[in-house]
Amino acid sequence: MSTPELYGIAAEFTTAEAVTAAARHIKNAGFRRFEAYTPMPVEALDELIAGKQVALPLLIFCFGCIGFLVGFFMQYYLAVVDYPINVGGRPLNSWPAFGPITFEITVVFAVGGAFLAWFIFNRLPRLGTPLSAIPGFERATIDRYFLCVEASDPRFDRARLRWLFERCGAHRIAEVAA
Amino acid sequence: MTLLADIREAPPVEPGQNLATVSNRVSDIALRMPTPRWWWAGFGASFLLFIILCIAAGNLFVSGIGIWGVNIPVAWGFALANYVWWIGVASGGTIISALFFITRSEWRTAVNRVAETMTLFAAAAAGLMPIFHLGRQGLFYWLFPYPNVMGIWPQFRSPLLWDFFALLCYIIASILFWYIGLLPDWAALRDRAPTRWQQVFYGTLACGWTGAARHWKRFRVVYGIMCAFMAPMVMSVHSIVGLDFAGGLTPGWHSTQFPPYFVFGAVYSGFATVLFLVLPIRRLYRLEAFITEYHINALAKMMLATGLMLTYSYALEAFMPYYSGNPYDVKQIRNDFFDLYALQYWGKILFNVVIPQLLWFPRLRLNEPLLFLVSVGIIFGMWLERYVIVVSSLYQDFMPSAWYFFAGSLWDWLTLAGSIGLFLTGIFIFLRLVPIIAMFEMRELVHREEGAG
Amino acid sequence: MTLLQLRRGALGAGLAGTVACAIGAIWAPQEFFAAWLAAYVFWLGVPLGALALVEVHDLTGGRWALTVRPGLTASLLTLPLFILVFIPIFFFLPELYSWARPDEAAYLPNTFYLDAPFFIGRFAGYFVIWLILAAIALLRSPLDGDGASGGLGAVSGIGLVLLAFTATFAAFDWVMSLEPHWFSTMFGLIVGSGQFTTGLCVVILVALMAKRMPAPGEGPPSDRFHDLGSILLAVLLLWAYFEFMQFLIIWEEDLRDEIGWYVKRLYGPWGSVMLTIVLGHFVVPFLALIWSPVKRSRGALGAVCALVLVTGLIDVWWMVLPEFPGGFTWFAPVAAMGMGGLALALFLWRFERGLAKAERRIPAPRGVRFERGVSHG
Repeated sequence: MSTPELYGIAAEFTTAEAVTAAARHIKNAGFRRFEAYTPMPVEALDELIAGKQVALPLLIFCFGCIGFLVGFFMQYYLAVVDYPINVGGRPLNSWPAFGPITFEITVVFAVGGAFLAWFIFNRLPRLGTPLSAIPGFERATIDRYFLCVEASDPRFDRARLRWLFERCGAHRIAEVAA
Repeated sequence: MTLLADIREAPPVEPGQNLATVSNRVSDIALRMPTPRWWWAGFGASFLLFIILCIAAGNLFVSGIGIWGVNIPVAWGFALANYVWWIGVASGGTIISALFFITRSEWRTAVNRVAETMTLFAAAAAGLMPIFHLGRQGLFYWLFPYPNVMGIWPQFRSPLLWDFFALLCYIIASILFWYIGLLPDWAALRDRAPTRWQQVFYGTLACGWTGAARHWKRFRVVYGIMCAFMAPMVMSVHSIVGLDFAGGLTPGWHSTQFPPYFVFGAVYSGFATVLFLVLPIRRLYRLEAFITEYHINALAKMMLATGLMLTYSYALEAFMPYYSGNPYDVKQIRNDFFDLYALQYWGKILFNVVIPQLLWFPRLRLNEPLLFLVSVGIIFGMWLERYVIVVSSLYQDFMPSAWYFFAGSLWDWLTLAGSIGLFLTGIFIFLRLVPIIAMFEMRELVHREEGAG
Repeated sequence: MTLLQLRRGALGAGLAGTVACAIGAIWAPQEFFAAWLAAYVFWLGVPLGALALVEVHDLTGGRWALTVRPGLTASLLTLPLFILVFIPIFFFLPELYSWARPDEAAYLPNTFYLDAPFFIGRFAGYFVIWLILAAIALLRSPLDGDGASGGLGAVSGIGLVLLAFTATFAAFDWVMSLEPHWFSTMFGLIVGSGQFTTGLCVVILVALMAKRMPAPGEGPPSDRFHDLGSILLAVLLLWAYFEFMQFLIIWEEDLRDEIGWYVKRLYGPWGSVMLTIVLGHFVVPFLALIWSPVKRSRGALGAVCALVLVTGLIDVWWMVLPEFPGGFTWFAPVAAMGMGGLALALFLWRFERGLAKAERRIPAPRGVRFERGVSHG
């Protein structure tokens, strides 16, 4: 049924509870490609839509590990291999003294990696979404909750979705042009 | 005299607020409100101080370090005291934002944006000081481990180099942390912006954020992890500042407790500075509904708690020389007590230890003018502390022939005043352009309160 | 295994260990006292850690306290035991402390502080303060509520300040002064955070085991253990931070008066002991606890706590024993077992009574009660 020029069907809700209930219905009805837009994190939607984010923490952990290795071995290479110098009899590999810089670089890699990974995972920055065209969507960052089922969903069915949204107490329903 | 019972009376948000009022109230300050007269006055005064900083720095670059009061053996004068002072304020802001996010403290929500922003500008003011302090400021890039024709590398065993790395990494991480926490709020401003330039300005900053559930989930994951990294990082940064001193042989500096001692002081001045900013802001912008007595009370209590930790360090600092029996250490602490800089020493005790004890009393904690004055006193007391640590330990070092009395020159004082100008100028710009309360976190709180009540 | 059996076992082990130590002490008094002091510093963490936990909870609140409440109460009640077991040391101070031997004390600059009557007086002072704080904590029982908070407020604030100072000076007196020339302002924080870790691990372990044993019935939800795991992680991080900073400063400076302490402990067998401590008391627990499923799994959290406890004991040995020519002897584990057994028997005796009392107070559907606790957090 999907029409190429249609991005999806969106419904506007006035409470977090309503949008959560609607998302649950949509999910139970077998839809998979849908997304909610809310002014603040709604915990119940995490499970329904976002699932567990395992890759992100692991990736950040890896960034941290890389930072650790880079931080330590940079100092090791520069102070032990490339330019060894005896400082008051301390060993060339003064590992306790290398600790602070290693730690800082670990953290900056992890935080920087988290920052980059977050943007890449979210496919941000971007200019806007097709939803921006529907009137009132700007309230998604203020006090309204939107739920949009995308036309690429294999079960996408305009009439059925309208009916479902209405039953879930949607405030408004709009078709989103691609 | 219960400390907790009273806090329950004040809610974290005044009743009657909903999602729309939160967003409108906070975003209107940045978007629609005509610039208030007090803002122009404050900004003007701060900017004037900032110009003074530019003049002082310009003179320093041209005339050299001789315009300051420093000389051997007091080679670390105002610049280092100012540096430690500012980085302390910065660290305190991150601790409030990151550590208390991890502990899920509700009172953090309304003040974390102010705290994070304070961190940025305080770190900027701090970062300038060591560069000023270099005799040849233009060569500061020698601190980077970059391949060079001389074939040498920085000395990685030196705390001063750790400090450079720590500060650099800290400023980078703080900016990222601040920015990612602001993203949903930039989007809210973009969506409420009445004029085109505001839409473009905030829209660019918002990077196309729409509040999709998947984005929120990742946001929470990333923000939590960032907090978990920022909290230890900020402790490490100020610990490394402590190591700058503890790594020297100078009596009064070489003490193993210096890293936590400095962290306590940093958090202490951070709380004082947040109160110093938040108390007037909430009145001037009429944000009493969001920054309630609950927050004031919690901040004051935390400030008292960190002050007590600092007191612990002061006590050990005074005890250990006598225990160790090291004659140089004993002379040092006796100098602190009775000699040329005794006034500054006892001043720091008065402002950091004695006066804050007033905060044990709930009624005094909620007396805003008094709390404001106590906070200003602590900020000043913390500067005195750093001044005493730097100067009093140096002016009579091991060789009596080199003993020397240090006093700041006019340019020292102008640089200090100018750095305050830099900080306040930044804060005033922030007050005008940035949502000063984390709106989405506030919405979460309001939503939770609605559900509970 | 029931609580009763465990208690009898603990009492048996305690008596056996103590008697064995007492007999051995006839031939090797110094080795005995060194081991006894180490065991003392380690096990004292149980009541002191509990005291600190009660007061921190009282100031900050949090539902985690519900889970460990019976353990905390029982831990506090072991405090008097630690007066008794220290008394033998008073009569043999010169065995332990060189400053108590007149010929060596003559060269010391700090005899004004390291002096036997003053030492005993300070000991009395610490315990008076600790007993008063524990009595206040028990009588006004902040832990009897729903776990959201206590209400001692300022009392706990002052209590924590006093505890910080007394624990610091106790660490100076009992451990740091073993080498009277050596000093470190960080030392109190290191020993104190170590003791706090011990106390925390003991109450977590007991709360975890209470599920296995028939006495308390059903257990609380796992997220409360999650919070406890997070607190443990934070404390371990702090401990590691204090340890590393002291080490780094002393290592960097390499001063004659200071580095000796580490020279004894970094080279030879004690060096590998230090590696064990670093791994078992920090690296492994850290890597385990940053992974959330570990904090939710009883078995895994219990294993981490057990590891931290064992390495915590090794850490105290590493601090105390290298000061003695005998070093590590059979006394060390036996004394730890003896004193630990006695403390555990006393602990379990109070713990059972606490559980019984809690059962009487809470009627059948305990789940409801826990739910209330959650909504408060």
